[in-house]
Amino acid sequence: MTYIKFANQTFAQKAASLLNKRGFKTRIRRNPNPNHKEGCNYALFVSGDIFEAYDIISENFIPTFGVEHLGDEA
Amino acid sequence: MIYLDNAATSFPKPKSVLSAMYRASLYSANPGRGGHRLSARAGEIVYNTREKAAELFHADIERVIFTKNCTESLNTAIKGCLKQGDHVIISSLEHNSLLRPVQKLSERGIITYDVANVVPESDEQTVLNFQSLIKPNTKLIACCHVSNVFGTVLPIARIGEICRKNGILFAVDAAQSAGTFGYDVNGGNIDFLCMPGHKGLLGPMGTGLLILNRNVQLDSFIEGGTGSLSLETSQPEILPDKFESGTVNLPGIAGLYEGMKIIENVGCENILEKENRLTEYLTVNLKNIDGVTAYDNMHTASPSGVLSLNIGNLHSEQIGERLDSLQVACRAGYHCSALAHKSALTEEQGTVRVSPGFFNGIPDIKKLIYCINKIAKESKIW
Repeated sequence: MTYIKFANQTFAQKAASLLNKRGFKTRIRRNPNPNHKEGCNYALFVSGDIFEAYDIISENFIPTFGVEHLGDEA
Repeated sequence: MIYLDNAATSFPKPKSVLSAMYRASLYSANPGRGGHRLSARAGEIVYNTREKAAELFHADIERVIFTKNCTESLNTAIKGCLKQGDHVIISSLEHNSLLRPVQKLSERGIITYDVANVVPESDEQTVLNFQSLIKPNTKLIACCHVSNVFGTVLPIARIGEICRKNGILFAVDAAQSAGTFGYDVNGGNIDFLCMPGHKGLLGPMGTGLLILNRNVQLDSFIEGGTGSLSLETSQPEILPDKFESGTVNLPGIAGLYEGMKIIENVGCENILEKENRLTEYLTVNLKNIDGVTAYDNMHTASPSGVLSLNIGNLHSEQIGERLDSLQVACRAGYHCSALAHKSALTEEQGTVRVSPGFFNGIPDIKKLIYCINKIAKESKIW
């Protein structure tokens, strides 16, 4: 599974709101696999082209921790 | 009881506000922390309220900070932006929520400050008074938009222009104006817009907002857990987390959303027009009562919904007590504003403050006028 990581819930929600207006379906969860540098953070799952979604988020200056891909076993 | 103390808090709270608080308490958990659905639901409530405030005040969503009241918002802004050696200008009508943080920093030898005299009959002179106090080390001008005692409206658009021109930060105390005056934080010259949620925004007590301009930086005033970057020992720099340590007031924030929705639907300008109409009606009728002083000389050309008055030489507290016995709720005394009473020479008596709100009408003002008349007549016997 692939998702976009955000430092806090507010930015994940802001990104979700933006993407929903552009026709994406989104779902926010806690990051299922945070690393020790980031600590607790939030994951935005997007139905559709996640890299297109990521570009939209970046163009709107919403900070992220990047895109994360976890194997199917995760 | 007729309630005319909306400058202290709006009353009654709308049913939709109370219902939202109840639902949030019943069906939600800690927002921005857990991953379970109760926490996620709480997070949605917080986000929706933040988004609503951002729309109302034309700000970035993450730059809407929840506080517990306007005082906390002002303290966060003032103490977060000032450093050793800075100079501050405030107005002669400030509430203690703005004066005391500035005074405290001054007593600690961190800053110096000056007080600009507000001249109700001349915005031009008021602006010049601010301008004349600017020094090379002036970092911040902080003032109320509307005086909580007299309803005086300060020319904040012009004061903001001076700030921008001189590279000075501008903090506005919107305690008496949020909900009745419109603001464009990102499009204007205000750096820090501070307000309570429980007055003009019709929300519950224990809620406040600090809204930051897109271009301003601020140090945190309180540090702690934010639910983000948890393994970092330093306070996160990301917004709004930097300024929201600890659990926020979820039921309050849920209620505030409903309050702001009402303001959005009715329109600030319509609420101001109504409150001003009530105050005008009161002012005109008080002129016909012997021994009553209405301090409308403290009003500027811009209207607001606050009026102070006195009856003869009675202390305002005695008038307030008598009004209460006649089933009318008004605030008497000094209203936490020594500076304002010094300006209007009302330090001896204080004043009775009348502040109609969203739910008042002309019949309420008529009842007040009747009561003031009655007390004025009684005072001659006393």
